[in-house]
Amino acid sequence: MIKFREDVNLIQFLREVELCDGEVEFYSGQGDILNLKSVLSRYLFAALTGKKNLLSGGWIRCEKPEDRKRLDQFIKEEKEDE
Amino acid sequence: MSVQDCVEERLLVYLGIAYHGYGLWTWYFSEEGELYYTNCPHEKELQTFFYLGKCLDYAVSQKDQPEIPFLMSDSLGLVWLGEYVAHPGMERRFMVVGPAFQDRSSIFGISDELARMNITQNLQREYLGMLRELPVVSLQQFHSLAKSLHYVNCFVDTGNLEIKLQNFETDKERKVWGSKPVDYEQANHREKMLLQFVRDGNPGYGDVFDIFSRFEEEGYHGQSPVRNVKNRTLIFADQCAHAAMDGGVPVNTAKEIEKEFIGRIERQRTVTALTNLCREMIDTFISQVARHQTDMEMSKTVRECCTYIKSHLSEPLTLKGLARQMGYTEYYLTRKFQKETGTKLLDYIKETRLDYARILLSTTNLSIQQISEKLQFGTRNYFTRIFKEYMGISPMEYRRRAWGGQEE
Repeated sequence: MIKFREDVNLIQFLREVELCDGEVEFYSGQGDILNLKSVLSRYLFAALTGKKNLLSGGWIRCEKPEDRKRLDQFIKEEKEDE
Repeated sequence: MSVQDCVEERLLVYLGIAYHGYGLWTWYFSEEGELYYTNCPHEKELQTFFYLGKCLDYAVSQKDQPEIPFLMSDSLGLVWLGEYVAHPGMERRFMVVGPAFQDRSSIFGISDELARMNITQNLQREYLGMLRELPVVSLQQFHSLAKSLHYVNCFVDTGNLEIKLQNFETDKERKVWGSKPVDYEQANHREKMLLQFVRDGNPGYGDVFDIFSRFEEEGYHGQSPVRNVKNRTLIFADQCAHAAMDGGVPVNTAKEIEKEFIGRIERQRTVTALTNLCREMIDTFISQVARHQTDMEMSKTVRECCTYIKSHLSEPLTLKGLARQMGYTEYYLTRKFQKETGTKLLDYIKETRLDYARILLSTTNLSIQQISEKLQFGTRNYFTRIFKEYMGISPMEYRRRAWGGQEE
């Protein structure tokens, strides 16, 4: 699980997510799980960008290690999957 | 300085009209898509929406084009208007106005989809709250806004202005709202031709459909292109059903097919999906007419046998039972059936059941297991296997597509 840097460029981030092979999920910390490969979920994710606490309190989980590497530039911290 | 030279001032006035008159925000981007300025309070969220709808990439792709307004739409039903602005002493950039929904029904659709997702009420509320704040501007109003924008930008006559419409689903451009009105007479003629193909059971309608698919979508009382095409297709479904009846298809069969397609038409979300579905609908009606015409060349015994099978699909059907029902021996009936139809009797039963399974998959909530039991396929695995052999896709996938689930 990885956490965002606060100054992340969301559009750039989503462009990279589109290139990921496996699933990429966002865990909001409030019980929401958004599959960022789904169009509707990406819109929901975008709507969170205005709510700083919701976004910065969330975690990203990549299904594939190579996708995790792709998103390296956006990462602030990392923890083991629960 | 003359009014002609005051581009910045004119655009500023336009910005005020767009905001105060329609509730629309204005955005300025560099040719590369970098945001320079916006008066939108939800800058981050909506700029990301602009990207997600592929509108940003589309606008950037227009940088080598002359100054012509373009309308962009996304899968939520949001519309944005853009045009490049280039004047001496000013860096070329594009101006965008939006977003707005074309009608409130888009929000209801989103709300239904959210309810099916694994997200908290809190997030649903936040998201819908933001969407409800967005203005509703009809396409006709956007058309006027596009003309005004072009006028303040280029200071030229906009009488014959053609506006580009970016359709993100196909990444194709379509010209909309030219000065040309809908040619109802020609459209009516094309529809009649298509219906004649259905009546005759003739599958060679390709060219006519190509023309038909470009038929203007105005005049069907919808507030969006998708709704307009939906309305048109719904009307056409009924016309096709009647043409099929004229071609000899039994009323119940034609009405069942019509009912199946009406459900599927309502669930589609894009013009492209509707156009494809319309073609599938015509194919289905035509094949039914062709099948019926073949039926008419059959003997009374074989016709009765077919009717019996169709009305007893939910019951176990055996060759022995069918032969007894028709008053012949099993050997005689199966040979006669194959000779007249070119299909083995058991294959005919299986294919008729699979046709009915398609209707149940697309029009009911019955599970795959329930459908396989109802139509005497025995196990779900067997049903899935032969359905896949017959249709090329699994029952689940067929249902997903029939319910308009291509997006996710």
